[in-house]
Amino acid sequence: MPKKDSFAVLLVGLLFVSAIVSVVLAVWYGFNVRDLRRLQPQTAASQARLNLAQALLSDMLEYSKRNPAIDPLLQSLNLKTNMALPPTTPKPASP
Amino acid sequence: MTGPEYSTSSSCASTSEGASREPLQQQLESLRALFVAALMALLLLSMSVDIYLFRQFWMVRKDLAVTATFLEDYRKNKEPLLNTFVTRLQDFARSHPDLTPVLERYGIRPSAAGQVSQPMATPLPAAGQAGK
Repeated sequence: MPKKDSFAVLLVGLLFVSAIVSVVLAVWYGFNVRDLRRLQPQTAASQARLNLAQALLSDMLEYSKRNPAIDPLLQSLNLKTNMALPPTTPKPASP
Repeated sequence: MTGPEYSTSSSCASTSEGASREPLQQQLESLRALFVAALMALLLLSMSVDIYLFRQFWMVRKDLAVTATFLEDYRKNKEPLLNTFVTRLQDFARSHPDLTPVLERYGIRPSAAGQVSQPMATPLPAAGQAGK
């Protein structure tokens, strides 16, 4: 009989520990969710600005085809690599 | 009432009392087994909830780390580059007015002549405010 009682006591103890773990995890989870929700608007705004900047850069690269004067600006910020091939010297005409 | 008679009736009473205790004992055992089974079921449920909460907590923590890293990278690297880019474009647009309409589509106005460009002077508007 005492053996059965001790088993029940053990189960109650485990249940108590498990309940405490649940509470701790729930509190941590709540704090993390709150932090994540606080950061999400900033993330969305930053992402939107990056998308807009990407579109602006595309337009500037398009503009640089019409006006290469903007190339140094883009290259100075590493936004456009100098892909232009060096001017090839024309081969001398063979006699 | 003689002694042996009493003894006989006493043993008879204890026998009947033992017989009446038997079902009670069985009921107690049954109740104890039921209690232990309920405890085990409750423990199983509680541990399942723990595992679920732990997984949720871990996922949210990972999301939080990714978000924080992205924001830190944006603030440290991308935002200064973006502001420098916009400032230089504004300066460039002063000498190249044909760029102005393109910049205005993004809510960027060329800096006035003689105005010192500030890195954070005209940040890009939010996507929702863009006139594109």
